[in-house]
Parts: sequence; C-alpha cells; structure tokens
Amino acid sequence: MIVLDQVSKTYAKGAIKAVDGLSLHVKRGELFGFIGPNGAGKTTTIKMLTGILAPDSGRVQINGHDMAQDPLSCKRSFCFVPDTPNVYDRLTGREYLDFVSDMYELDDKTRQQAVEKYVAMFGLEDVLQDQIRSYSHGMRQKLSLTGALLPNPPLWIMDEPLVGLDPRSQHLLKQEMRAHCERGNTIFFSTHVLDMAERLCDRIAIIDRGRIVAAGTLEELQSGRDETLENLFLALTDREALA
Amino acid sequence: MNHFWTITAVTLSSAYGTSRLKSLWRGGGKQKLKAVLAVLGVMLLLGGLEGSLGMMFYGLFNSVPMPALRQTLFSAIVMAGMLMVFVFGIFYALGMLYTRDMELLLSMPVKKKTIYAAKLTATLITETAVFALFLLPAYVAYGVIARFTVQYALSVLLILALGPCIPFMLSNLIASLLMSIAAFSRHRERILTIGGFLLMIVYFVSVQLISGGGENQLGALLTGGWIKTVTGLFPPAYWAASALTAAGYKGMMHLMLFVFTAVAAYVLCIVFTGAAFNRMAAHMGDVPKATRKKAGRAVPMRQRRRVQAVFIKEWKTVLRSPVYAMNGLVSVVFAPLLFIMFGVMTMSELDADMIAEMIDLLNIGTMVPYIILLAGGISALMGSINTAGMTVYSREGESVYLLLTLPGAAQAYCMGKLLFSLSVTAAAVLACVPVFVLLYKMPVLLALGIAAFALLVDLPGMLLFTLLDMAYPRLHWDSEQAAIKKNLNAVISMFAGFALLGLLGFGTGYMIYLGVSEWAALGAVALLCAVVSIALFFALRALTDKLTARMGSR
Repeated sequence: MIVLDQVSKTYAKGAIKAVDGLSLHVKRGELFGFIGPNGAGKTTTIKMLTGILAPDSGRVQINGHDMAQDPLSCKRSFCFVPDTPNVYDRLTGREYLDFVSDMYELDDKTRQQAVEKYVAMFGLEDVLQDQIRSYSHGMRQKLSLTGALLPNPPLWIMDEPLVGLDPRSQHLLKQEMRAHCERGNTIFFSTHVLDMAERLCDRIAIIDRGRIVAAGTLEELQSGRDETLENLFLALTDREALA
Repeated sequence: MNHFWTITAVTLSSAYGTSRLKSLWRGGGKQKLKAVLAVLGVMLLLGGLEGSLGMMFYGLFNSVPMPALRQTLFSAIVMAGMLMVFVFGIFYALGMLYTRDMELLLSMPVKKKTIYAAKLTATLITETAVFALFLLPAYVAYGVIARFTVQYALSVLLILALGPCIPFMLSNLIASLLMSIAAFSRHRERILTIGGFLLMIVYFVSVQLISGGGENQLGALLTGGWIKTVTGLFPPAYWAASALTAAGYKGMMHLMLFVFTAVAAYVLCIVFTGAAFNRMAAHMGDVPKATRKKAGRAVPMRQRRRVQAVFIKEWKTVLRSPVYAMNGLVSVVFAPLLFIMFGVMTMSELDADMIAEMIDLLNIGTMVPYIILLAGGISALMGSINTAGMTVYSREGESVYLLLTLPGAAQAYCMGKLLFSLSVTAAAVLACVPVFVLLYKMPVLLALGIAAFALLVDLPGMLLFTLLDMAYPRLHWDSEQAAIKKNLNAVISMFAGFALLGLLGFGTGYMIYLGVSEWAALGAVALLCAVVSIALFFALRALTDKLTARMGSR
C-alpha cells in the first residue's frame, strides 16, 4: 500500500537533514505505527507521504501510484489527519464537514451517513452548529478526525491522532482503526504513546535522525528478548550511548 | 529588561522580522550578505518612495504662489495625516488585542496593564513609523521652500515623533468604548464590523464636509475655512500645523502645547483604557463562546460543486471576521459613497437649472465615452482596493494542508478563490450603478456599461494578484490583522494595481491626444484588458498545480 524508497529531505539548503534515505514498505491491511523522538523526521516523512512536501530524492508510492507522477490517484487513496487540528476557525463544525465532503465530492446520502456516524462517535452533536473558534483543542481534533474520515478511503495517514482526545474518544478511535484494518484497509500513524503502538500495531518502525533504526512486528523488534517497546525505543534512540 | 520593554520588543520583532535579520547577520558569509542585501533593498524601496513623495510635495508647494495659501495647504496636509491616524488607529487598536499571543501573555505573571501598555506602545511605534514615512517628505519639501530654521527642524522632529500620539490615543478610547459595548454581547463580531464601518463612513463624510464646508474647495483653502473647522474639532492638529508654520514665540508655544498634550494623552490613555482592558481581559476568552448558537434544527447537508464550496467558504470567512470584513470589503462601502458625496456636494453648489443642464450633458452621445472612461476609471480604482482578494491564499494559514492533501483540489480552490476575488470587486463596482441611475439620472444601460468597463479594467489585476498570492503566500501569521492588513502581497498588489490603472489612464489619454476617437480608445483599452485577462487566466490555470504543490514547503 505504501512504498517509500530511499526518500530524503533536507532543509535550509541541505544544512539540516530531516529524512535520510528512508525506505519503508507498508502492506495492505496493516496497522503500521511510526515512532521516534522529537525532531526525528516523523512529520517530514508523513508530509512527503501525503504530497505536502516533495522529497529531494527517492520515490513515494501509494496504492501502486507514484506521488510525483500521479499525485491525484495517490490522494484519492488516503485521508490525512495532521498533528495540529488547524481547521477553518470562522466556519461552523457542520459547514466545515460540508466543505470537506464537497471537496471529496461525496453525495448527500454518503456524507450524511458518515457525519452521523463520526459525530455520534465523538460526541460532537451539540457543537456542530457552533463556529470552530469556540471549540477546545480536543473538539477541534475530533472535528479534524471526522472531516478526514468522511471519504473513507483505503488508507488512513494520521500524525499523532490521539493528542487532545478524551479517554473515551481515544478508545473508540482505536477500535475504529482496528476495524478499518480488519476490513483489509491500511493505517499509517505516528505516535508518542508507545503503549498504544505496542498493543495496536501489526508492525512498527522506529525513526531517529531521519533514518529507520528498526522496523518489524513487536516480536521481530524484540528478537527473542522479553523487552517492552519502551525499553527498545530508549535503547535504539539513546543518542549519547549510540554516539 | 522589564516586562514592558520585553513585550514591546518581542511584538515589534515578530511583526517586522528583525529577529530573522539578526540570525542572518550572526550566520556565515552568505547569510550576512543576505541580511545586508535585505536591508539595502528596504532602504532603496523606502528611499525611492520618500524621494518621489518629496518631489511631489515640492512640486505642489512650489506651484502655489501665495505664501499664505501655501501655509494653509501645508497645514491641511499635517492635519489630514493626523485624521488618518485617528481613523485607521481604531482598527489597529481593535486588532492589537486579538493577537494569538494574548492568551499566553495573560497567563504569565505580568500585570495586565503592563501587557496593555506594551501592546499599545508597539502599535503606536508602528503608527509613528508609517506617519513619518508619508509626512517627512512633505515637511522637508515645505522647509526647503518656506524656510529651514533650527526651530522648524526641532518642530519637525517632535511632531513626527509625537504626531500620531494624540489621534491614536483618541482612537483607542473609541475602540475600547466599542469593545466595552460589544464585550458582553453574543453578537460582538457583528457589532464590531458594523460599528467599524459606521465609523469609517462618519470619518469619510466628515472629511468631505470639512473640506467643502459649504464653500468650494479653493474657497475653503483661501479663506482658511478648512483650518478653522479642524481647529474647532481637533485643536492639537492646529497646534502642530501652527508650530510648523508660525515663527518665533507663537510657534514655540504651540509646539510646547502639542508636546505636552501628546505626552499627557499617552499617559491618560494607558491609565484609562488600560483600566478598561483590565476589566475586558477576563471576557476576551468569552469571544468564541459568544459565537455559539443555541441548539436548534440541524441544517441538512447538501452537496455542492467544489468551486462553489470554496467560493462560499471564502465569503463566510470574510463576513464573519470584523478584521477581514473591514479591510477586505472597504471598497464595497466606499465606492458608492464616493460618488454619492461627490454628487451631493457638487449639486449643493448648483441651482436647479444648472443641475438639469449637467444631467442633460450626461445624455449627449458624444459625452458617453468620456463618462464611461471617467466614472469607469474611478469605479475600477475603487474596485481594485480588494485586499480580501489579494490575500486569498495567504489567509488559508496553517489550514493550507487541507488544500495540499485533498485530491485534485488545487484547480477548484483556485477557481473558487478567483471567483470570490472577482465578486468583491464586482460588488464594489455594481454598488455604484444605483447611484449613477438615481442620483446622476444616467440611463440604466450607461450605468451598467460603466460597471462592465470598470470590471474589465480590473480583471487583469485581479488575475495577476491571485497568481502572486498563490506563488508567494504568506501562510505564517499570528492574527487576522497580520494575514490581511500587514500582508506584503496586499500592499504590493494595491500599489501595482494603482500603477496599472494609471498606465491605462495615461495610455487612453495619450491616444485621444493623438487624435484617436474616444470610442476607439475605449475599445482599445477594453480589448487590451480582455486579451491580457484571457492570457493570465490560462497562465493561472496552467501554473495552479505547480504553485500549489510548492506551498507545502513554505
């Protein structure tokens, strides 16, 4: 479903190497966790994956389509939840969802059903007529998630989707993510909640300083040792020890 | 550094990017060169502007033979500058309290009055810089022609430094009054928008009445009627003008009076409006809640075309934000108002027979092309003041990720935004049509022809400026004020728009001067604008995907 082949990205005219020759392959039906310390290159990788940023070198493929050659087909295959829920402040929640549905060209029935489902799931019924400016961070995140999930594409790309959500919404979202993958779809998400990654993900990749330092199932990462993901993560990303 | 200076410095630094300049300066050779080039570029730009303004004012003062009349003209410029600070200061005063850092600052262990004083001072410094930028050339030009004494130089320095103080403090008083009324209302935004527009209209009408004052413009200048009226309404402006134009004791006394009043106004404003801010600050967080509607019947969701969805989103965003509405839709209110005021004031000086004769003139066939050129030109000029349209991409801000990840949205966004942009200009231009028909008794077809011509003339500019904002969107801003008013794209586009219209006007006049018939000149301008617009439209379509894709790395 996702192929990242030797993808690199630098900032400040090459002075800062954010992603360095990163290669990844995420299969259809997988729930794939992407973890790493702050500034490791997670968000840059996700931005390249979603076509927001163009890589300096390497290839990004989604659902068999090349992002550089055929961005439209790629973008039709996924939805994206950004790390900060920047949504149009001056629209009401309902207007925002209508806008996103229009942009995805969803018909009346489909959008109505999808909105009803997610609005009920996240408990947004009472605030949907309010301007988004009045929403708390968590409510914005729920709205951003609802907007992203409306078109129900086969691939969900999520940058720290649980941030700001209350425990109930976190639980429901995790269930929804699992169910999505069980229907043969794919999820690629970044998180700092290692516990969640450990319990939810089929496979995990750890990125540090723009490179993948480990990737595989939890068992593969543990390679026979009885260690938690947290310990593995700390060991693999301990910069002082590695230096 | 104490809290006051720290907040003032940070506010100014984040507004003008001086910290970026500093970090470039601290960098290597290339970075240093960049910083030097940036400073040189700004200096060149400002130098050019100051030089041209200076020459313009010099020419103006030089063309007036009588020293008394020249003195009146100069006084009028000094006063007009202060009046401008007063009116635009209201919007700055409203905007300065709604920046994104306000919540952070209010949460810090800093006194609210210190935060207010720092924000006020930072805004005042900006106002002073703008004031000085536009008025220094006039002061220098007058000094060169009239006299250049030590007293004059001292007066110039003090009045440039303190000039905006009194009008801006008055603006603050009005703004805090407006905010106090609106603070506890559910319709705060609406009150601010309508109140802001009403204040602008009152200012505009007052200036027209003052400058007319029941006499004609020249008469008002010759008799000093203008000065007398302003003196009555706003004495500090008179003191400033007198300090600059009167020599010796009288000038010095007025200078001292002005300086004392300016300092007193600053202190009093900080005490009184600062106290009002203390009370309001607790309610500023309520603003979003005030927008909440009572639970009611849910609006059914309905599918729209993508372009239509973007177009509607743009209008909703602009109409719901006082800052966007007051800055972006200013031409829709002022274009018809300008023609109304001109018509009313001209007609008030004519008797019924002369008015009838004038209206008859409008219906003579040979006058029609001139009327279209003149009225169309003015309508186009007003229609081109469209900052909402010139910042359609910049105003997306951080939400731009949506445009970048939605499949195939770039073209729909572009067309929706372009349509919005054109609709603002069209609204300004079409709002003049009823004025032409009802006040000037023009035939409906002629009024519509004027509007069509104005729209056609504005079209290339709108396409070009949409392209500019798409290529270089200013996506990182901390307030709506910064997104639209302090946006460099809007400033460049506005001046470039005026220059384009000036060129077209000059070209048309030159064609007629060369003997080309009026209709042919009109047709040539219309054809040129149509051809350029078509070319720009296709260029915009062709570049949309590429330029949109680049936004991710901005």
